[in-house]
Amino acid sequence: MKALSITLKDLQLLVKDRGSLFQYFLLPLLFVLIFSGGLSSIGSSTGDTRMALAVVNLDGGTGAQSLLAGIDAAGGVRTELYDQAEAESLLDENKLGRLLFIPADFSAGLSAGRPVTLRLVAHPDASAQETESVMLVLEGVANGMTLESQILASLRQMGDMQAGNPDAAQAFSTDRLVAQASNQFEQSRTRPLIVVKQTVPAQQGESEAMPDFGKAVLSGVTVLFVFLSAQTAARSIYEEKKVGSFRRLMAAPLSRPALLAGKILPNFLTALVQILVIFLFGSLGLRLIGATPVPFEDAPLAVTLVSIVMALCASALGIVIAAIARTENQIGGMGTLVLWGMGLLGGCIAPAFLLDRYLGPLPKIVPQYWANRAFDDLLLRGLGLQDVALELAILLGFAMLFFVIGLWRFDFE
Amino acid sequence: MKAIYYTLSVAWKEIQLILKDRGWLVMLFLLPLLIGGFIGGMNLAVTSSTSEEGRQGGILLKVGLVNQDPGAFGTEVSKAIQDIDQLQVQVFSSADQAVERVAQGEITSAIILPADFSEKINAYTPTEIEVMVDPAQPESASIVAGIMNQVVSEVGLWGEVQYGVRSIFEESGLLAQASSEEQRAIKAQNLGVIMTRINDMRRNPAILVVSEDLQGAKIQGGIELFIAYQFAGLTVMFIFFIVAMCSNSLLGEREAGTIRRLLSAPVPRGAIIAGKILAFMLLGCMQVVIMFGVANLLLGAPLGRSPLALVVMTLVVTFTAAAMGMMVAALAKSASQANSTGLILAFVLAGLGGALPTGKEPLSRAGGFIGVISKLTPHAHAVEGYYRVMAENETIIQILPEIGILLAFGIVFFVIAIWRFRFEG
Repeated sequence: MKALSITLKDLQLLVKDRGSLFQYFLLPLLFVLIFSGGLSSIGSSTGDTRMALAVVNLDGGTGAQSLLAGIDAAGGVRTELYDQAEAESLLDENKLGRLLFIPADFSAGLSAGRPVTLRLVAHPDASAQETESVMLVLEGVANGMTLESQILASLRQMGDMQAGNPDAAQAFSTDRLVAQASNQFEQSRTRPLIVVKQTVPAQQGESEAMPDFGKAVLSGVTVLFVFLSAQTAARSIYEEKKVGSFRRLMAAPLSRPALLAGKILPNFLTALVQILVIFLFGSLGLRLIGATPVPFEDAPLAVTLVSIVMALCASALGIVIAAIARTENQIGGMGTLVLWGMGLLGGCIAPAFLLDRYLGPLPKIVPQYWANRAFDDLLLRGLGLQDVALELAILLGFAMLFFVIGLWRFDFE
Repeated sequence: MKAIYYTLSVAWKEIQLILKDRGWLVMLFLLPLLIGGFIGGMNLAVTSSTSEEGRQGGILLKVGLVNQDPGAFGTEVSKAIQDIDQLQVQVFSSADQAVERVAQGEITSAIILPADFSEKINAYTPTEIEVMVDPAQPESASIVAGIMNQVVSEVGLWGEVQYGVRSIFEESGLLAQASSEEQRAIKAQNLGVIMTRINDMRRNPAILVVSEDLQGAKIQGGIELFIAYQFAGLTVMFIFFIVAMCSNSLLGEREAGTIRRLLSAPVPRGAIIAGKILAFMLLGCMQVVIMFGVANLLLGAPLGRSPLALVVMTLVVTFTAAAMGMMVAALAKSASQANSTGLILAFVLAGLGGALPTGKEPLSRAGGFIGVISKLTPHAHAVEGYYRVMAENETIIQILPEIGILLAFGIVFFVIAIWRFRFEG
């Protein structure tokens, strides 16, 4: 009962601390908005925002026309034709950022199967980022265009191989080959022979869906900020020691574990409310701004259990920080560094396959890794309670370990 | 002369206090380095393993492969996928097994070739390769898509050439007249043509796109620019953490009564404010030196061609941040309120101003409503100014608008601070 009184008092203090309330509740939502791309999508313009690309067309043939039409149709870039002398002068004066030269033999070279080169010349002060984007569009369009010439060159080669057969001469006439290649090329533009279709595993009767960044960000941010709250717990414990109220509490008939449990209970409860707020935002808020909402209703029991164990683990970590740090500054500095470091290592920001590739088994030593895995399984992969049993057990193990270390190292005096 | 002496004395005292506050030092120096180094390092590693030059970058993704097709095209695609260095391919006999592994998050994606893959290509009928991606790792989707498009383009060409040759032979009746031995020879010739074409396509692309500068030199790629943006953003974000520290310091002194003692010394009021601003500007400058130094030396981020522009930007940004701290101190009722307000401002304005790097370029360039909102923050102009100097090689003249706007922000903050701050608490 006395432990609960400590909890109630700490909760009252927390409600008055606007900075902590901001860190607990608003900051994670801001992170979700920013990292999911939700912020950039609010009220974004729907007009023609394509980047203008100055082009000097020295060719004038059908190949060059196809190239220009392809660039305009690819999205992201629109072409503007210039006279060579004028364009070069504007480029020198930095009135044009970049200039595409289509060489005089472009169409002829394509038809003859000769390699041709497109030059994109950029002014040194032009945005290199934009130049790179233009290059990607040009390479994509060029790859598509070469299909026709590749088919034509192949048919010609085949025709050459039939040179000894007089009947084949007519069958492999130039006109026939050009018509065949052109016909196939036109078909491939509207009906490609092979399509790569991306899907995600179906969940609960849901049909195909595409991977979604907004959804993937939410669980990472939740885990990051729940564990960052350990610093608030540590600071609260330190304050209690500093003002001497801990010593007074020691005089009360309370065991040391009960005393510490009472101290972490408010942080535990606040962390649970924090998770609820972030998840509600993930379900309702993301829907409001037009992003894909995260489904929490698929495995409510499992999500609740993981949330409880994670909040417990983060609160117990707060005791460890309070036990090891000697000053308030150390709690601020060491706490910040350790908790952010653990969050980054545990995959709260970087994707799991990169951690796996570059850090090997190292991320597994932090509880954030297991919490992220559990939430990913439940919220993104649509798995159930039995699938996250290992993660739950490990998180519980971490919580107990932190509590025992805290109890052992904590200087109650 | 005395005013300068007092200002420097206050600044020196403040610096000594700052250096003792390890919590803030970690927050201002180590945390941005930790975040920047981690994210920048990861991006650099991915780029080097997927770029043309970095083919030896090693395995990036674990994928499952299900080839249900008994034909030649299925075999060819399977072989091509298994030969890709960036993929650790595990072959499954059924699609269900592979999908289950994706659903469990054990592999990033499953590539499923349908049973009628070769049959459809031979019949010149469109077909699909399904790539099932782990929804918890959406970043892997674009990498797999890039790899698969490369594989498919070659097999697609094979199918197209095969169909073209067959059409001509069938239309002319040459194939029907040929003996079985001649038909086999024609098929072998056809395959030879296809292989020659694919090898040629790999070695000499029919259309080569090159990007060059005015002197014809090759232009550098994008990852260094992303790192420049990332470090510019993080540096600006953490410089503005000074707001909380600065306001907390000023109000803390007022609450502790040391300002009153300074005034009776007598240190002029202006010297107290100027000394504090000077100390926090110096702190901000140190942040910039360390952050940009690490970005340039360890991660290869460009610093542009105008050191002067970087220096002036840094002076203006740090002045604006320190002045904002003074303004918060003038408007807050207590040190703790100033501290929490400063932190809230630091995060919110960083988010709105695009200092938290999420896209490829500053948020203020996004256009639309958010682009306008972004430009209302000093952060957006600070990030834009740094980015233009570092990544786009602009000079001090070209970034004068950003410098002017930041300076205007700083002066407005400073005037409000002087007008509203009460030295006697």
